[in-house]
Amino acid sequence: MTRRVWLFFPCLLLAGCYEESSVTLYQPHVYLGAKDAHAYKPSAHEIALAQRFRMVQADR
Amino acid sequence: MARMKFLCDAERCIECNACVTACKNEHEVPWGVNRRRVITLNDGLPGEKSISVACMHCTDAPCKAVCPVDCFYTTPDGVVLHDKDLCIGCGYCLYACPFGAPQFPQDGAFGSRGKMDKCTFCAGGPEADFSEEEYKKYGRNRLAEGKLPLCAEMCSTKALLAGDADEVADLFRERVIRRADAAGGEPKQQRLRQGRPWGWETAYPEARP
Repeated sequence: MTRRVWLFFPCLLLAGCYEESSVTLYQPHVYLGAKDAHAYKPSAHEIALAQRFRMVQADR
Repeated sequence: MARMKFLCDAERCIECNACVTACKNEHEVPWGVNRRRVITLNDGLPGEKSISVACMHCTDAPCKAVCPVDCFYTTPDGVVLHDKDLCIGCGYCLYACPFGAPQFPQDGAFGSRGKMDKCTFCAGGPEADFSEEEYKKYGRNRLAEGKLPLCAEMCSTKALLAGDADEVADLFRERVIRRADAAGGEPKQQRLRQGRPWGWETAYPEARP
């Protein structure tokens, strides 16, 4: 019985040394986090003007 | 929120004045009033540079700060506009503006100033969009049509850029890097110096070689 108790405590301590095996790989410029509720959302008008800029004024 | 800005690339402007003509034609600007004009430095000398100048739609506009009747306002797009019904034509904004953008028709007696007129970034005025009154006072409202200022849209060399400041800055930055690469030569610092926008070292003396 005493021997089992002595074994239990080291096992319990070692349980805290668990290593996560699934690694998240981050790609540059790709945000994988949670959605930001406060992020700025451009209006349809702003999107239209930005598209117009790229269409009409971008370098040939 | 968008911040609409103009940028004129001095390396590309060929002083054709087409932007000036387009602006006058689009908005039926009266004689004596130039919402946009082309300035040439060292005219006729080798290395002369031209830039097209109009209201720069300052984020912290001095004209707006000094107007005694508070007729200026900034739209959600970041365009500085004014209300001609409130304007008293005092000319204070002209003294405050570092670009000389405010224009005054002088069709009255004794050289009296009329209501101030300036570039609207083709965004009309306080009146209802596309109304006859708006067109009469401020010209066409292209921004509400989903278009950008005509002066920039028709610029043949794409020297004059108009749009959201971030978009304009991105495009200009690409150009600067391309020019630096095209300049060739070594080392890299030297190439970057050659590709720098004209006037950079005047604006940033610490960047001088």
